[in-house]
Amino acid sequence: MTALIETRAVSRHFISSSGPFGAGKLLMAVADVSIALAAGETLGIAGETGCGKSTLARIMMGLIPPSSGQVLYRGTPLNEMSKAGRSDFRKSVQMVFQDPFSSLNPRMRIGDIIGEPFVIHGIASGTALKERVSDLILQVGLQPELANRFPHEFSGGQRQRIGIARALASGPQVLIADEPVSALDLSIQAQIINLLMELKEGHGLALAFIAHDLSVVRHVSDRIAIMYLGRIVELGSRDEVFSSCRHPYTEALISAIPKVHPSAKTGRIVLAGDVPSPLEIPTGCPFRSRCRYARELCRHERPTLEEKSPGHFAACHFSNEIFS
Amino acid sequence: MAQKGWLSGIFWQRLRRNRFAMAGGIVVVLLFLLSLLAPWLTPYYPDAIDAYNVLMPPSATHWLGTDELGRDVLTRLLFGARISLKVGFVAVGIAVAVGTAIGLVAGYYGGWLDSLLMRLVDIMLCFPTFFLILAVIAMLEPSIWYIMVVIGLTGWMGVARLVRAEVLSLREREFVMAARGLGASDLRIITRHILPNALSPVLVSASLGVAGAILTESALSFLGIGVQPPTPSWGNILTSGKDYIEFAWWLSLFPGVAILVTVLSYNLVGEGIRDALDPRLNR
Repeated sequence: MTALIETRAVSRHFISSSGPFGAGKLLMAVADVSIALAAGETLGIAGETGCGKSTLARIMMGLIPPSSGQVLYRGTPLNEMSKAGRSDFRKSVQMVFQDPFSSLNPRMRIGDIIGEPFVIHGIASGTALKERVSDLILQVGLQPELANRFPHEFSGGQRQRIGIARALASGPQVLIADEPVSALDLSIQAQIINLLMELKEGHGLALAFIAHDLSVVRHVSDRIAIMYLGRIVELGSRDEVFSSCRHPYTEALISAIPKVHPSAKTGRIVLAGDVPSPLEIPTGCPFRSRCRYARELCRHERPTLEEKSPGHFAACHFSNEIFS
Repeated sequence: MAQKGWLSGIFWQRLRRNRFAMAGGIVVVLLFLLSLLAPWLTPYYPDAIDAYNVLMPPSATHWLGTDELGRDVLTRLLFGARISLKVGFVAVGIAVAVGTAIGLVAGYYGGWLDSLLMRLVDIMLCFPTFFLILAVIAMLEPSIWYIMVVIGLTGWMGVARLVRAEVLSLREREFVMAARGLGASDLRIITRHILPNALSPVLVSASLGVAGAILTESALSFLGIGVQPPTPSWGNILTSGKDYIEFAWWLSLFPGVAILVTVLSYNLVGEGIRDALDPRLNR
């Protein structure tokens, strides 16, 4: 298994703005994330709002440079790529965005939006371009006649389909979906997820699926990474993570998934308090302020991401003790 | 944030419901037609001197009277409208082009370039514009082209700020991210994705700017350093009128009214567009 996209110890901080006097505060959006996406696999990235999922997605897309660490595409670091390599990367790695009302240029026609990748990369023009665009519109389940319409004439779900068509246009191998369904109605969510999975199978794509809804992630992913305050706290295959999680945060998240059967009541772990502000991350283990197992050690020492069982990583000092 | 595409339908509806803006718009269109068709609308030439009919009050043959050289005032006003509109539009065209370019670059690239350009704007705004124009025109010979260029080059700062502010918010929108993710060049992103979405506030600024430019040109011509006689301009008709104001009121009144109505109309249209674009007003 060779990784298509790999991040190595990637961090990204932002300086939160303050007045002209006084230093700005350091906001650690993504901290020390190493993750690899192999060809054809679906990696789910889950975590609460504000845990750095979107920032990670944009770093993987090369849209924002990491403050430290490296992003590699097929083994080549992004910042060392040749112009041709960069262009290949842009064609091969595409993104589906969260907000379908913001991700389409309101002044462009649907056909032009979907056709833009062909124009930028000089793949097709003229009637060939039109045919390719019609084909893509069909693939995402819309009618080709809609190519002359503007985005505001479409519903959220349709717009998301258009965004997916645009992402597929350049023939990518990797699709990074940044909360592709969280802005949609529940009934539409399933349609879009199914469309993504169909297209993933059809095109043999590797998919990084980012969501805050664990049940959605469970449905689509081969492997799952759980993020908390910019760090990965648990990483493993879907079944391992769900059947034998190794981190208290994951445990709480899983217990919060609504059960289908009303009698299947299991103890739900309610996390106390809110996520700490990313401006003031607790010392030691970032999760200790809300962890019900927290001990003295957690206050002083930050646990590293360790392999607890083959292919299953967790960042918790007492993982073996708690989950044995 | 409201969608611009959604707004475009509502925009016309709102504009049409605004009576003041519509009245202004009608006057603006009318002025265009009048100045365009001036040679066919009047039997006189703007420069034709008639020594037998000097300073005639308004009558059936000369609707708005004649001036001290017997020239028909209505004819001179119509031809003067051409000058005023030309100055207004070319000056604002220059201001909008310069301001938009600077605003786009400052907002899109940010950083030190942004700081530099915005300090330039601050510095330009420190000058009392009218005196700057006076000084520049006094150094060069008075010519309508210089006037247009100078008015344009001293009026772009507001547009630059407006465009920059729009670009700052557009730059973070996901469709711009998507374009960057596709590998689009900066030039393509700016021209295809940012510029078309940043233009609506410029429209307001431009129509208010036309009014300002017309006023500035009239003032310059009134002071004798704008459009030079015998070429008629509303400002210099007013100047010659002031010498005869005690017994030939029509020479001062009509060009004054022309300036007033034109400037008022452009302001009404500009404000109408601004109100119609304002997503907070949901009437």
